[in-house]
Amino acid sequence: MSHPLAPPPPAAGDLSDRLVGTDVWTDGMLAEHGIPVVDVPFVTFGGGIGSFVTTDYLRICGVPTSAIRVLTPLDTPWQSYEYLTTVSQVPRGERLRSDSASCPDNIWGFPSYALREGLKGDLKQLWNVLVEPIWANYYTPRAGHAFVSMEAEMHRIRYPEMVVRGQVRMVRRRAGGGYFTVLTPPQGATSTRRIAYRSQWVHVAVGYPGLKFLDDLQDYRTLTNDYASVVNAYEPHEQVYEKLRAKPGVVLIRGGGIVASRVLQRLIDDRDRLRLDTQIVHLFRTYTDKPHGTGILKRRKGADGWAYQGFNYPKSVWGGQLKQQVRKSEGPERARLYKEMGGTNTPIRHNWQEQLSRGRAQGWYRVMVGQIDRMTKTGELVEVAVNSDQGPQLGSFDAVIDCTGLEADIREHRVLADLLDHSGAGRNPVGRLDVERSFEVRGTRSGNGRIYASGSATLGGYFPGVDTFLGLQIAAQEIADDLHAQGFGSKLGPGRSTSQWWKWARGKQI
Amino acid sequence: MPSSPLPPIPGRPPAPDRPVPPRPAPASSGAATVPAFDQVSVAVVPGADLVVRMPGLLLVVVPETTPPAPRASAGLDGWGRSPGARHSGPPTALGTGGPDRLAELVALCRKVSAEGSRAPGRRLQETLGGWLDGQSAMTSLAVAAATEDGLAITLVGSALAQVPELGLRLSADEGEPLADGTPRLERTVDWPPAALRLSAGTDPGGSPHPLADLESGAVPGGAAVLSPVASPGGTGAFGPASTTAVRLPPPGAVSAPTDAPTPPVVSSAPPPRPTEPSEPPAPLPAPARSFDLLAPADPLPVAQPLPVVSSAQPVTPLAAEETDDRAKVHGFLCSRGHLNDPRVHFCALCGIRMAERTGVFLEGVRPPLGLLVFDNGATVNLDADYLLGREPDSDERVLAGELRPLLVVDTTGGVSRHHLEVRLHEWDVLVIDAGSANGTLVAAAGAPGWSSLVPGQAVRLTPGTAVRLGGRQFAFQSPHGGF
Repeated sequence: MSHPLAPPPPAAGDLSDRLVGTDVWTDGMLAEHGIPVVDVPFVTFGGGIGSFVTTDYLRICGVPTSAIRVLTPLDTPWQSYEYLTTVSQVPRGERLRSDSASCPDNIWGFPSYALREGLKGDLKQLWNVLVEPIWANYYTPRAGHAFVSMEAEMHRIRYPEMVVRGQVRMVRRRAGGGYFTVLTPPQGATSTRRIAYRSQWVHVAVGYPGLKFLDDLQDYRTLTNDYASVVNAYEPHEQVYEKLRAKPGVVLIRGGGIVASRVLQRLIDDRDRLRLDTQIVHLFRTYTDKPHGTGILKRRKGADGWAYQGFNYPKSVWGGQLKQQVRKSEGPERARLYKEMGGTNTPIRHNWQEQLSRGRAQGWYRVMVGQIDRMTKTGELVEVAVNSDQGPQLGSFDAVIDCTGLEADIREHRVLADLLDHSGAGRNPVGRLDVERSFEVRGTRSGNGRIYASGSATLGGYFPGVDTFLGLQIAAQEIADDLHAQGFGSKLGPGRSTSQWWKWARGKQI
Repeated sequence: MPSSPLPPIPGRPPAPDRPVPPRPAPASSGAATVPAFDQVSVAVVPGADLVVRMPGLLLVVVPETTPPAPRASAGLDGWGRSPGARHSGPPTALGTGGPDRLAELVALCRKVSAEGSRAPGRRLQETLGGWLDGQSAMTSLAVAAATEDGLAITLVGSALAQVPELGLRLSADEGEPLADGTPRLERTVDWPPAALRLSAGTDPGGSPHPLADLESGAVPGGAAVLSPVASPGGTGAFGPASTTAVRLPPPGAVSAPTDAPTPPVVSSAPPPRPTEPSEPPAPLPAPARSFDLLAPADPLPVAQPLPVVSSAQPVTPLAAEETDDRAKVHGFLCSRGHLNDPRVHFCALCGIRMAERTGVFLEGVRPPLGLLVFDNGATVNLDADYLLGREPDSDERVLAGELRPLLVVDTTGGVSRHHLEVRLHEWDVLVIDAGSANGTLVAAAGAPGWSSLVPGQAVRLTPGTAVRLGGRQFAFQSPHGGF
């Protein structure tokens, strides 16, 4: 018979097993596969706030839009971020947990969000930043403020001109230097299934690898097929609030972080506004009743179960002792430092404290310490067995909101896994992507080309706080400096910085 | 063999003596195995055909030495063909093919099995489909291969796939025939909760020896019986959902256990046509009872008949081995294998970012698209089309099983007998006023006020939309779509 046994040849312009199995690609290999190649010096992908901030920095350093491509499936840089903050109860009108001067739309951090609010007439915010954190809680910007100002900056730097829609499948080193970034455009948008971007530099900013809901939550769902009563705070769970509006109920909250604070605020706001009779039981795994932290200089307040801290990171990671310590540390020492600052905590906010103390006084907010043993469905309710510090306890709840979040391993992201497997990237002491002080991904150099990474995927490097607005900006600055040293972009010296700031202030498009 | 087809062509060795083609590669490469599929037992019923098992797939094929069933031409009437084989290809150029073609087929299966990372099913169906298109006078064969969420079944000629316990039966006649008219069926189905029996030629009948178990290899046999997924809590490619008890039965079955044998296996196409008239078909058993969303004071009896009192989210593709009659829809899989709305950026089930995997647009069982939260706290899971009203049971479409009734009790009398349809279209939830007397009002989240529905005109619900009919009200919430 003449029928070949081989499966039908792959569609034109697609990857083949042979290509996927080859670490370093030549131009000829792509030509053979019919994958079109686009040349551009700098490619950033992920397309979230990390890509945006880096692009912003480079544009201000004088890099033309034609030299940068942003490969992304997102409509806007803040799309994913806004989704996560919205479902975890920080909609546009609520305040983020971010410093006033961490402005992803403004690399100078001046004027800060508080100053801008003050200039618009909200003088209270100016007073706040003056006296914080002693006589006032830390100022934090509203989510909506951050998004709106980012949108203005996006158009000012002509960001949309640089965006190419699609999903990045992998980055591979190119024989002779540089890299190929393989993009899968939306189906039907191009004549071939893949497009390769050939560039000297690649910037990886794929953000949080994703969430991993706790096993007991997944077990409950698998066994009962009930997805509405036991929810994670990072997924849409409006139905819980909706049900509580319709009839009174008891809710179990698990976790002691910022999201737990926000969910409690939402429940209590609803309770006050709609005069509901919502009862709340709050389960802590570790109950903090006194100041926490190692050493006298790292003490932070703690009370009523909560460990308090103004921001995600102690302030000293931005310019203090901790920044120096981490910068010089390697291996297990670095892992230890990260562990020390990595505990769950939440900011002190007066309105939250007022709500909770009212709840404690009136008896509708109760606290337990322990861990969930199992959850079973009984009728409309969820029966939860808790192994508490007072022995085993059993309770029935209308809803369980899990405010703990585990992050997935970086290997769950296909591109990062590919970097680890095929391009020489490695893991840092915390298990994420290992980067140099310049945010270059260690071990991936190809000829004169370099791969940079920033954001959550690089947590555990020489600089902590990479998964914050300010951390992304600091990474962008290091990357831009390193690129300048290689002759890409102008140096952002005092002259350029000043003139560019004026352009920013006047909203002049560059 | 009593049901052996036509006498063999002279000169061809009788079937049982045929040399067995080379053994398929043992399950050596770990990557090529599909744990759930490869963990269940396959029992072979004695017979003259050939049963081949390799990682991720099971093949039953009629060796070509017994010529394919000829066309039921006038001259051949009365030969006592087995009832299973209705018709088949033209009187073939006998002997083209033969052992060579069989070996080719087995080699092709082995190649796909070895390449298939976790579940070779879909790829095998594609590859095999392409190969079959080039064949003429193909012999009967049946292949079941594991997909990530069920089985991919290909039947050619007189082959059958049956689940005798549930009265389900697929035959090649139902699909698109090959170029020369040989019947051929390609389906992806959910893994049935009972034993699946595959036969290629005529099924010799009878059950296999209770201890019979083919782990891998090729042996003569008349049919192969694939056990249902074994252990609940089994691990492997199917994850936690490889338990057999994750999906609740359709609501009709809740109150009417006598319907038990009828829930059909879901497939990519319309529900399988029952081929035996004696079997009650009932692809969509009309729910025996409607749900009672009674007075606000008395919520519990209300919710009891609801299938899933509250479930915003799907188990879908994972649980797909259960029988169910849910609609299929196109979407993207997340990196952990959950089917999602193409518009979302995070998996609705596990929270992982959808960008972790190149979007492959494929068809799967549609997860519930959200839920309706009523003003008394009762919730309704949206996994089917509903008719809301005071007497929804009396509607023709409800009687026909097209819509599920949802009784809405309203003391103000403002709810019509047939008031409002809630329909699922792809990933969207639509509401259509069924010509109610007092109309229906909707307000999207953040909308300044209510607007009324035009009867017969569909409006898409977005998460947070409130809908009011008579004195009752519900809100739509969904893990999918916008935020």
